[in-house]
Amino acid sequence: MVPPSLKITRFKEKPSFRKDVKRLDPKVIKDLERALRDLMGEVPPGRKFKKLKDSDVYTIRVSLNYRLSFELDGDIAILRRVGPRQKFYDSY
Amino acid sequence: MRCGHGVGEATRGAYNTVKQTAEDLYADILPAVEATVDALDKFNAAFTHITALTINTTNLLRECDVDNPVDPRHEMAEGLEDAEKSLRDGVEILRQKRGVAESDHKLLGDNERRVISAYERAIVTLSGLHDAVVDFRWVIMEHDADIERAEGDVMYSPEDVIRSALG
Repeated sequence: MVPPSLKITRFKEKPSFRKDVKRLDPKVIKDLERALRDLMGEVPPGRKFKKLKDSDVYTIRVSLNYRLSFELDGDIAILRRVGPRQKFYDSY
Repeated sequence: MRCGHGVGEATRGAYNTVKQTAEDLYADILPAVEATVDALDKFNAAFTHITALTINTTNLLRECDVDNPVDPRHEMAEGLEDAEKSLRDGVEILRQKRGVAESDHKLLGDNERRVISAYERAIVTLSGLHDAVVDFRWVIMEHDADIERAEGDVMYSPEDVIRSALG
């Protein structure tokens, strides 16, 4: 669930995120752009916003089979990884 | 129509043929059932072992502090993505084979239940291994991101993020 205080207005990137984006298909890059836009506003429940257990890392769905992870530093989302995540029994 | 000579013999012959065929079929089916169930059980045991190894390594990587990236060139992540694809294909093949077993009219009663149950166990095992590999890959990816620092300028729009990443 998205914390009520969440307000993202800016982004930074980690090197791995950049490398991940270069590997994505153009369609997934468009999906990523939409996911980032949602992060700056009201995150829809379908994005499955989650905080990973025992960490300060958050995740959202970019599309049905892709996930984005990031950290928060105030209103800055530090983008960590983006890639495929397709599971048979998905608890995430 | 009057039955001529030989009809009784023909009837007996056909009866014998049908009966023998059914008996032979049953004699063939039983070893086939045993072989299928044995093969699937061996498959289950091997893949259960690999799943446990994958989960243990995932937990180890989650809990330990490593200063260096474990997959700096993304080779393991790409290899694991390929493995995930193969495992998904494997699950699909097992589902198809289970479907064939379900519609096989030669498989009846207990034999049918044993074969289908063996396929279902194999499907659950392979799906579990697949999901464990997905978790393993993501733990490797997050681990390497943990030890990196954010680089570059602050960006104010998704378009800038994509432009910067692709630049």
